[in-house]
Amino acid sequence: MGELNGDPTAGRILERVLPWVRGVRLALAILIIFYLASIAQVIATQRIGMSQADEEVVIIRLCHWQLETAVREAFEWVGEEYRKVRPNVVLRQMAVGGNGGAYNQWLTTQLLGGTAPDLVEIPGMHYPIMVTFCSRYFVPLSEMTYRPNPYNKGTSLDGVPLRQTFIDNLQWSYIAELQDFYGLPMTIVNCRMYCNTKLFRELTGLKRPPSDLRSFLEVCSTIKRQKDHRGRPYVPIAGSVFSESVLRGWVMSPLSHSAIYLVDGAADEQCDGYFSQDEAYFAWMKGMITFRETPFRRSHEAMKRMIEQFQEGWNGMDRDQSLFMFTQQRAVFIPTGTWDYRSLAAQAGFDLEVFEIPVPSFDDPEFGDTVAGPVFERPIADARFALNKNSKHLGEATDFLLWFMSQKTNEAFCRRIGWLPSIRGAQLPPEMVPFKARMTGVQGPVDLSLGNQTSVIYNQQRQLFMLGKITYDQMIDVYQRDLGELGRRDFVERTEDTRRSIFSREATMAQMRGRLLTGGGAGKTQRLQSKYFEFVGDQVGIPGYVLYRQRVLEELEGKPEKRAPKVKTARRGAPE
Amino acid sequence: VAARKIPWSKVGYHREIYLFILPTAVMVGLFAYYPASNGLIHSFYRWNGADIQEFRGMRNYWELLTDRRFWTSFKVAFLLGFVNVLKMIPALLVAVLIHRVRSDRMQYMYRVLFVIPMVIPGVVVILLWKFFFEPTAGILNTALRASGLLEFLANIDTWLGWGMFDQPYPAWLGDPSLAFPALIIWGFPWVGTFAVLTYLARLQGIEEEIYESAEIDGANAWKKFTHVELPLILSMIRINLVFVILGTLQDVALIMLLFGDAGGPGGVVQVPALFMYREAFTMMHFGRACAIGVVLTLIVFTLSKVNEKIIKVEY
Repeated sequence: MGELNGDPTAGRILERVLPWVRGVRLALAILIIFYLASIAQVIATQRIGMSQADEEVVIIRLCHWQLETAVREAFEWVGEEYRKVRPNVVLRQMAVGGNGGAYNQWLTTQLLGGTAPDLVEIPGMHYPIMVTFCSRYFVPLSEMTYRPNPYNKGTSLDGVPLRQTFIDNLQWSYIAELQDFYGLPMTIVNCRMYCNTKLFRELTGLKRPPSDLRSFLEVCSTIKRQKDHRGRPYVPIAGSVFSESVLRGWVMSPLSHSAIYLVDGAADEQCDGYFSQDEAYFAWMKGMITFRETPFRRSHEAMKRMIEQFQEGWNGMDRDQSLFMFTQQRAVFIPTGTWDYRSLAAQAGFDLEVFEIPVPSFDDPEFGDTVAGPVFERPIADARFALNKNSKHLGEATDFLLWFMSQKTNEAFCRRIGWLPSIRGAQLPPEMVPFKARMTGVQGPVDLSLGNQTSVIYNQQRQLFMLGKITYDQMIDVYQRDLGELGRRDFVERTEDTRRSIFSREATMAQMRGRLLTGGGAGKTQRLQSKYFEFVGDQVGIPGYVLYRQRVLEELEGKPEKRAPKVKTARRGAPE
Repeated sequence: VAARKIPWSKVGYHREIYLFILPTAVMVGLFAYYPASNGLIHSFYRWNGADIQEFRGMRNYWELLTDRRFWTSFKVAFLLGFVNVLKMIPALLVAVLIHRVRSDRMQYMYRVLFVIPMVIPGVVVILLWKFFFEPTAGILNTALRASGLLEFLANIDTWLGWGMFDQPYPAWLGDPSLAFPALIIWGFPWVGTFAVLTYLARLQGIEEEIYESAEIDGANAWKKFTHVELPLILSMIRINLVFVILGTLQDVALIMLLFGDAGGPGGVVQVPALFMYREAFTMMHFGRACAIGVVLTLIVFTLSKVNEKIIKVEY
């Protein structure tokens, strides 16, 4: 084959190429076979479950981060059940682990690229970022929440507006900056202290773990004195950075809540019984508080007492490692949430008991006079599913979401995986009863940081204090050194984000005015009108709040000498 | 054939050449230069990676350069870099030892043994080390306790008053005074596969005649190493040194996996790359993270130039 159609160059090329092709033909054949097999697999997956090839089938995709087998199986079950309601709709779940990490990055890429699933579980992220996400990618659900859920027909929630069917009244789904609801929650999460009952009884001789901090600490010291068969001392609480974050909400709240009474309650500017991050920062900037007052100091000290019951090196361990330690029976307790119950019960191989996280009581000799009350366990609605604005099957996805959030489905779904239902009237799985939230008590804990930069410094310093490497005063010294400048940056950042949302709200208001002028049904107009007034009220309020805060900040900025520690008496626990 | 410059007037005539390099140029431009230049531009913006994009001039840089924590992270990185440079020595020695094994079969076996660990992903290795460092059940403390070394260290510690080994089970990843030593211990015995194999490849390229000449001159094993082998593999050492410096400044996975994104207890092992990662992915300050990236690039570039000047390679 010297020439090819009279072209000597082409002939020479073929002469060189063909032997090579012959040499690699096996490899090519394997490649082609696997390529074809992959295509066949994709086609088969697309077609799976379709009884009629010519039927118009709609596939709605749902993504979440729960990798537990039970959850994934429950979603499969949900898909099958929904096909009984809508035979032409197939649910496809995409489980991508790593809430706050890999899942967020994957979701961001999908949303930016316009390929995100129809239903998205909203991941854990900084609030301002979540606001951006919601406004940009998710469907606002206000309209839907005013109407009853048709899938609740025949139940106790028949005719009840969707919003009121949720235990938390969709409080966690409401984005104040956008004046709308984004995402419907599947479950309510709550945390408890898990106990290895057998080990607890063996080591302490007691029947039940105590509920107050003082007695609990005594029990822990009894446990610490005993050693396992390898001569290692038993650990009272299997701890990790995650465990510390869980316990903070309980152990610190009854004590730090008293901070709202400081300076005759003037620090709680919004008078809502909660000392917010902004309020704490501005009270500090104005010199009203120094963070050295009793409520702050004692709440940290009580937490330190609890942390001392963790194993050494807890702060270098992640959640999985502490769970492993607990299941290996090297620790008696572990604080964690509803989400771990089923898997722990299955893995543990011993009897599990769940009890309320011990908190300081009024008669506590060390902390009693600062205790403000029991902890209010605000229902935390989780596993919130939002509708993707760019969904090609928005109608079907919306219908599925309503069915998914009906009382019956919610109850059955949560029963399967051992979660607390988010819908009123849905029966709790029996083992979840101890997780039922306490609805009376005090709010907290007070967060000394403003998020972002200040959080990093506060968390780092708090960790050193918890480890006993620095004193409380040293922690505050270091923290205050950066708080002025970094706190300002964090606050300005938040202000800028809020201002941006003001402009977008103005556009929405103009649209609403237009819709009001062009009319609609009587009921619709009334709803629109009330929503419009809500908007106007907020629009007047938020810029005012932002400007007020900004003015205070500018007045105080760069004048640290003005910050004389001037503290008046607290109602409970005199400041030092 | 010596390379020749193509004058501008002849570029059209040689267009095929440019067509051949076009796909590569497009790909490199798209995936390497575009993101880099985009990062440079965004370093002057307040950017959240999505829709917030506001020009802020040099403010990102100014805030960065006046941030005490940023410079502290460099202090950690430079200390770590110094340690990592020292950690190159065992790999070099092992490569020389393998090179001097007389039996070809044994030498081959050692090479294979060094290649096998390469199949284990780096992340898995780090996670294994995380388990080694576990205070009560980890291999490190178990070995230290069983060998009595922990007691010895505790005595020295008491004598020097460091307060590092005052606990029965040292928390390598949880104690601020042990976090950096943990980073030093990590990877023991520090014979990185890649480094050993690259040194070995270079050593095997040394002509037999050079060794024979050295022997005639009366060189012993040490002199052969210092006067023959070391100068001849210096180019490889320099390449590895650049990799080590780059790795120390750019690597975020090691610290993240061992210590979490807070940079260890009290942030004592926070390196610039972790600082950048946290700004970008935790705080969504992508603009500021880009500014950190630009500063890091400049520092890496400067260090590479310094490296070139200090280590002169003649072969």
